[in-house]
Amino acid sequence: MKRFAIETDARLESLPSIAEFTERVIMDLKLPPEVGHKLSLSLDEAVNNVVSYAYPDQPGKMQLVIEAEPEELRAMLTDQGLAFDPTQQPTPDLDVPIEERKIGGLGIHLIRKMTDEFKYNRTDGVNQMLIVIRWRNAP
Amino acid sequence: MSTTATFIDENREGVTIVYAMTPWLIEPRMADVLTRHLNDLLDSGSGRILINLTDVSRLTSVFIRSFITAGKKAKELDAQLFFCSVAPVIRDVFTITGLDKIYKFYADERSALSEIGGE
Repeated sequence: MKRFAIETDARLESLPSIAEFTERVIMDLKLPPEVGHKLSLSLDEAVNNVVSYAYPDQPGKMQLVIEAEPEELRAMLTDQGLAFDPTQQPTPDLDVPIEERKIGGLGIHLIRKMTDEFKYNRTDGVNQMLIVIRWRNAP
Repeated sequence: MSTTATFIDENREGVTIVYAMTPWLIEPRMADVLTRHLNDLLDSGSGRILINLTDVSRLTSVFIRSFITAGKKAKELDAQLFFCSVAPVIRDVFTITGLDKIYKFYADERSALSEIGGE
């Protein structure tokens, strides 16, 4: 197993550095393009959620750990901000005409669609979001 | 990777073409810039806007929100938005969020202009 970790301030300015971290992981692991895209998009959305909502009143930190097995990625995003369970958010209605479309909930919807497991846990004031992506290597 | 959002416009054959010059469209503040930019174009009378995403390799839901917001305004003003040169992984984002059912996509700028261009 290979492990990658980063800790940074949970603020909008950190988004590029987290995105570059994810890109380095993708390159280091030589992930298939579609797997790399699932990882980068799901983490971009998850991190954006934390930096936007976890710490509304004071600065805070977030930690991202990615563990890589031959055909599985497990990414754990942790923060000590407000409790928020993204897995309980409703799926947006995507079939209504543009004038009735809501703009919320799309990021979480994308995470659900891009991952094989998407779980949330809160223990002792710590939010943990787990994202798992699996794939099969070509024989 | 640049954190500055740059969008360049060009008018051709009666169509306003918007080029996204930033490969990673991931930041909410960049999305706000795009939303304002598209609103300004619509307010100034652009009736057909073609968004060229040829340089974009990463796009998140905050930009999908911009495209929905612009689409609502376009509908009010009887204007139209189109997309071209969208990489398959970016097209997936449009499909998953249901925007593929709302907007028309073209393989490239030439095929888009041949269909929607003309004064």
